[in-house]
Amino acid sequence: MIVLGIESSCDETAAALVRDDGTILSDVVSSQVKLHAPYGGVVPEIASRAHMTNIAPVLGRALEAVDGGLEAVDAVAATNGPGLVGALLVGLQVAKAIAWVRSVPFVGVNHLVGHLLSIYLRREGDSTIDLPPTPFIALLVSGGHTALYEVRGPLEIEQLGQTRDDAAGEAFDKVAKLLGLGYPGGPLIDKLAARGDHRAIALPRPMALKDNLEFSFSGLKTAVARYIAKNGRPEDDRQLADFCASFQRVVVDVLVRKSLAACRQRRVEYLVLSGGVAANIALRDRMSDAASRAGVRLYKPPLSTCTDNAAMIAYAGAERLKRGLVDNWSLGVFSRSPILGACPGSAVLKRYKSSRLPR
Amino acid sequence: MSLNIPLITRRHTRRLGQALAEVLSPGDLVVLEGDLGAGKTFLVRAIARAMGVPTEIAVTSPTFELVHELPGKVPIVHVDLYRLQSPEMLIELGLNERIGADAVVLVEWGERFSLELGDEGLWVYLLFDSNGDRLAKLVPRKARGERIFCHIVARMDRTG
Repeated sequence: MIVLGIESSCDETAAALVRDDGTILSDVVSSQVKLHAPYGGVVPEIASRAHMTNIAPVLGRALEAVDGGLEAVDAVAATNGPGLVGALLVGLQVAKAIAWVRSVPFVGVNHLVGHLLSIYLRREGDSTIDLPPTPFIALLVSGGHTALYEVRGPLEIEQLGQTRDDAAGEAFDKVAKLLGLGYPGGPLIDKLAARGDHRAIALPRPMALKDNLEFSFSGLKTAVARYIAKNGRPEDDRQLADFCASFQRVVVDVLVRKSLAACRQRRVEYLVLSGGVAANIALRDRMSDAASRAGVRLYKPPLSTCTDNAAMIAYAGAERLKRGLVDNWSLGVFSRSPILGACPGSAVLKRYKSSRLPR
Repeated sequence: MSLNIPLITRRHTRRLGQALAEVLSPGDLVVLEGDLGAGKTFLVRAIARAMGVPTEIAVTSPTFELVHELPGKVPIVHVDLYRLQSPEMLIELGLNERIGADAVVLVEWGERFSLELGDEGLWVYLLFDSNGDRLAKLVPRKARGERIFCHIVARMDRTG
C-alpha cells in the first residue's frame, strides 16, 4: 500500500509518498522547493495563503517519485491537528479532494503521533535499520511542543508530561533573539555552544529536581532576559560561546533527566527522540551517554525526519488504515487537544471494508 | 486613562486574571504587550483557568502555532503575533471573525497590529518597575475596553 501524506499544520507545506512498511518513496517540504524559487527566503511564511501557493508544486514534486503519479496512490492521510486551523484546512481539504476523486480511503492524523512514529521511517534499500520495540518512551521536542510519551502501539499512546509554558525550541529561538543572533536559534546556539564553557554562567534549572515529568522553559527565558538587561549582551565571541553553552546545558540537562526518569518510572528500556530539537548535537550526544549509563537503548531519527515532514503523516496514516480506521468527509481540524490515541475532531471513525483496502 | 497594578508575586497576576475573567465576554479583545519574559503567557493562563479551561489542557505559548483555541465557558482564542511580519497575514488568521463575535480573544505581541485588530478592547502592558518588580499597565480603548477597565478599577478598589 502506498500512502500519500499531506502536512500543513504550521509553517511547512509538505507532501510525501510512503509504503505502509515505512519506506519513504518521496518526501517534499516547501522550504526545499522554495530554495529554487527566485525570491525564496529562509524564514518560513506563516499564512494559509502560503500553503495554498505551495501545495500544488509540493504535491507535484512528491508524486513524481512513482510511475503513474496519483494513480499509484492507495490512500491519503493528512494532518488534522494540532496546529493553525486555517493552515490545517488547506492540507486536509486537498487530501479529501484527492481521496474522493481517486475513490481511495482517507484518514486524518494527529501531527504529534506522526512525530512519535517517525522513527519507523526508512529510505529505500535501508533494510538493516534498527527499529525500537514497543513500548518505548518518546521525547518529542520541537519549536511548538515539548512532551514525553509512552508509546505502546501506533494507536495506544499516553502522554506522561509536557511543557507548562514554552517549548524547548521556542526557548532556543527567543534566547537567540535576546543574544542578537539570527533565526532559527537552535542550530546557531548549538554551534556556538560547542566552543563554550557550560559552567560560565549559572542559570536556573526549571523543574529539574521535581519528580514529575513536566517541563517549563519560560522561567529560564526570563532569567536570560534579566541577566542580559543587567549585564548587557556578551561582548566577544568567547563570552557569547560561554553563554550559549551555559544556556544549552540547562535545557539539555532537563530534557535528558526527565526522559530517563520516564524510562525508570515506566520500567521501559527503549527511548526515542523526535521533533526538530532532536537535531541538536548536544542533546543527541548527552542523551546517548546518559542512556547507555542507565541501561536504556536510545533511538535517534536521522536529521531529515526530525523536523516537520509529511512522510511521518503518511506512515502514521498507514498504521491507522492497517487497523481498519478510516475517516469520513466531515472530518474537521483542531487547534489543541489533550487526547492522542484517538483521533480528535472525527466524530465517527468507521471501520473500513477490508475489500476496499488495497493489499 | 490608565491603571497601574503591581504584580509582585504570581498570586497578584492570578488575581488580575481572575478579575479579567469575571468581566470578559464573547467578542472582547485583550492585547498583551511586554518584553520576552514579562509574563504575558502567564497572565493568559490565569485568565483561561479562571474562565474554566480545564487543567488537562495546557495553556502554553502559541508562538509557534500562532493561534491556540481554548475551551472555556466561552470560547477563548489565544494568539501570539511575535512571528507575524505583515498585517496581511493577520487577516488570514481570521481573528476579525472572532473579535466582536463569539470568542474572547487574547493577543500577545498585538500592539503592532492594533488597528488591524479593531482598536477596541483592553491593552495590557506588562512592565518592570525600578525595583525589578512586575507591573501591569491597563489602557482601555473604546466602549468594550472601557467596560472591562471600569470593572477592574472597581474590583481593585474593593480588594485594595
